[in-house]
Amino acid sequence: MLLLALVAVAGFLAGHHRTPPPLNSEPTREASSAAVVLEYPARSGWRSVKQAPGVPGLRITQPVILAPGGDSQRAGLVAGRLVADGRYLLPQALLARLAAPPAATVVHLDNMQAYRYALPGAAGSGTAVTLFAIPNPYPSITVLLCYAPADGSWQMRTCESIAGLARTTATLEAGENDLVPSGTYAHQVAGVMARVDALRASSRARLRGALGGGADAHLIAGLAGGLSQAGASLGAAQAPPSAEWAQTQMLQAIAAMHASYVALGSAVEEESQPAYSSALAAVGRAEGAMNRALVNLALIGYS
Amino acid sequence: MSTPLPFERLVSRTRWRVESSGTLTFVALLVCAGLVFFVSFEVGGMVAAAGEGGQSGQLQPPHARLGPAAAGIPHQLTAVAPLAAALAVEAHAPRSSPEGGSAASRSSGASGATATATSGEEAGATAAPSGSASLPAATPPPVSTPAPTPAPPASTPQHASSGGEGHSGGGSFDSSG
Repeated sequence: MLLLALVAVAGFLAGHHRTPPPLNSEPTREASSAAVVLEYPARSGWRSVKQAPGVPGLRITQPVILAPGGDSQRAGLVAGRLVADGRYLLPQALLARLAAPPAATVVHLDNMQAYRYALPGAAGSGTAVTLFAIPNPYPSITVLLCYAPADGSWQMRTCESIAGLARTTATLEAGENDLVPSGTYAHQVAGVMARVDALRASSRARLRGALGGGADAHLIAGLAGGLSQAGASLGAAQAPPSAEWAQTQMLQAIAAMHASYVALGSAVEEESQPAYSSALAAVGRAEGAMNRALVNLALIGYS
Repeated sequence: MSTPLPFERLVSRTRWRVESSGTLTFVALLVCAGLVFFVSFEVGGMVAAAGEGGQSGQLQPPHARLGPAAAGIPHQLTAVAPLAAALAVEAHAPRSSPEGGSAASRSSGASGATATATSGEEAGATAAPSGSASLPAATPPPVSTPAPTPAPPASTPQHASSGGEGHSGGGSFDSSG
């Protein structure tokens, strides 16, 4: 009995430390496009198909499409390049269908990191959608879209498993694909944005209905000065490579906000209606640009 | 009547039986040990695989997300009351209370400018008045929700409503490359 017990222990230890079989030890299939290579187990039963139902607002070019049993009506995987609109990481038409920017989670795929978004309602009720986005780097974006009847369904699990083995064809420099948000940078941005928001809210509340006086010009000058300081603080923040483009967007927006409020103050002081109108429009544009930058920050995990 | 076995033959046969029985026991032990080893080996492998967080081919667990201390970046600037669309003349400018007090009491000839939310770029772009200086229109008290933008899509949120390039909203997977 002692001998058998020893054999059992030896067997357990040997099994525990054995090298796992390589992924390609089982028969696989491969499907690829210019953007991505999908190598997936043949036993999954998923097959390459030509067409899949679209998700409104999401246009994927050069797609490779897989579906369980070759039927893409209810579930499938679409991988390819995203047609970005140049202003948001994800298309504006897609974001407009969501109540808020989707929360981003960073995951590892085969040779890259990706942002993972759950997009409830993006394809209507009864269809769960998960999107993986890989900026390589922005604005070139590779995406993998999984859709299935429900989040926990076997189709969604299989799709995410296949996505987990995807390889991008893009050549990424070191650090370009490190998508994990930086806590330090997030803390700095949060501080700057809290200051900007508080300053803007208090100044704008006092400006309401009180234009035309020297006191109001002074208020606007104070707001512009505060924005200038906030811009300097933001410029000093060290953005990680994955957030550099969003950081640039924010810096440009805050500079535009500063310039437009300076122009607004001058117009008030000079009592120039055309200059005032022009500055007011510029304020709107600058604040819209800041809102877009904040959405993009949320889409890369800073929220 | 069978003849009794000679003593030597009896000893020899007994020895063979004893040896044969020992061999069988040994073989049985070997088989048992093999089975035990195999089962233990597989169990060990399964325990190891479970410890690694799933079978190969599954998505790797995500990175740790930002902690609560790093959160707090807003999705958009706080909505504020719009600025007056037209420049007021200081000598006649009424002072509105923050609670949304007095309305404009006098106009200097403009047709009446419409105050519009300026938190979005298109709002600012549409706020330009057509006439000369006028008193600021009475503005609503500060609101916590964005003002409506011109003819947005049915469920368009503020964060993605700027621009207005007229996306059709139709998704497609363009296999033409």
